[in-house]
Amino acid sequence: MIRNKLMCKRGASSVLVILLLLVLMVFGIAALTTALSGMRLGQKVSDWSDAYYRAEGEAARDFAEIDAAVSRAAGDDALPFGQALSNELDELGIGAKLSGDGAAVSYEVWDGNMGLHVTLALDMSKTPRLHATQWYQIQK
Amino acid sequence: MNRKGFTLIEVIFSIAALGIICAVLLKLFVLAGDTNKRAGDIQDAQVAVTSVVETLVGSDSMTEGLTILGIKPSDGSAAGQYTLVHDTYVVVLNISREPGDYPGTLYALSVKAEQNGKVLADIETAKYDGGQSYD
Repeated sequence: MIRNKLMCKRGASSVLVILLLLVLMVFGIAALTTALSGMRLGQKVSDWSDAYYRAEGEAARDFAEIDAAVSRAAGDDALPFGQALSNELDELGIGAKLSGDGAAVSYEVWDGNMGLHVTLALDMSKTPRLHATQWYQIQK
Repeated sequence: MNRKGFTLIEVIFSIAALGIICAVLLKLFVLAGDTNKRAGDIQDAQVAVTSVVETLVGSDSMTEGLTILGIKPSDGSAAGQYTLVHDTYVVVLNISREPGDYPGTLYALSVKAEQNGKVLADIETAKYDGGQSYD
């Protein structure tokens, strides 16, 4: 009796059509999900670069402030350079490691979860110019 | 065995129902294609904007960066608005000097990639052109 039921072809086309529609639906949803994932990924990359470059902009602004402080300290004849620079950086709220003829200034900037750690070096005996020696990204 | 077939109305209704269901399902594929294209456009625009920003930020000076990009600064200063055509995007650069008493020049930099007047990616940052010696 079961064999007879299985051999009966009545309704087979309906089953085929329903199966076809199901397959179409599964593939359609899969394609849409993949596309939406790609979109979300693109948005995430975009947000990441946005935050990174904003933080880099802030780091550049701080760099300019420190450069101005170094310039003022170099022009200060009343105090030794190291002392004058230390005073200038204290006013900016930035810590510096002073040694002999130079200084290493480290600071961090944050934009949301994105942060940048920057170390600037100033070697008065060799290259009397403020330059970045470390510039790396940190994440909260 | 019952050999009576379907009436014309039944056939028309079943074809219409099947057509509506198929149209809805096929619309899913069209939507997926559109979303894929939009995601690709956003990613390409992001790459275009990032490459322009990196060229400017990574060069020794803003004017040198502009020269590498094939832009001639108008009056010696790098500040100004410039447009570049990058693949199918128009990249708009806005460079302005930030006020402040610095030994070098601090520039605010905004780069946008537009397609058909729509902004797909934008980056805002700053670049400090130092170069001051303290001897």
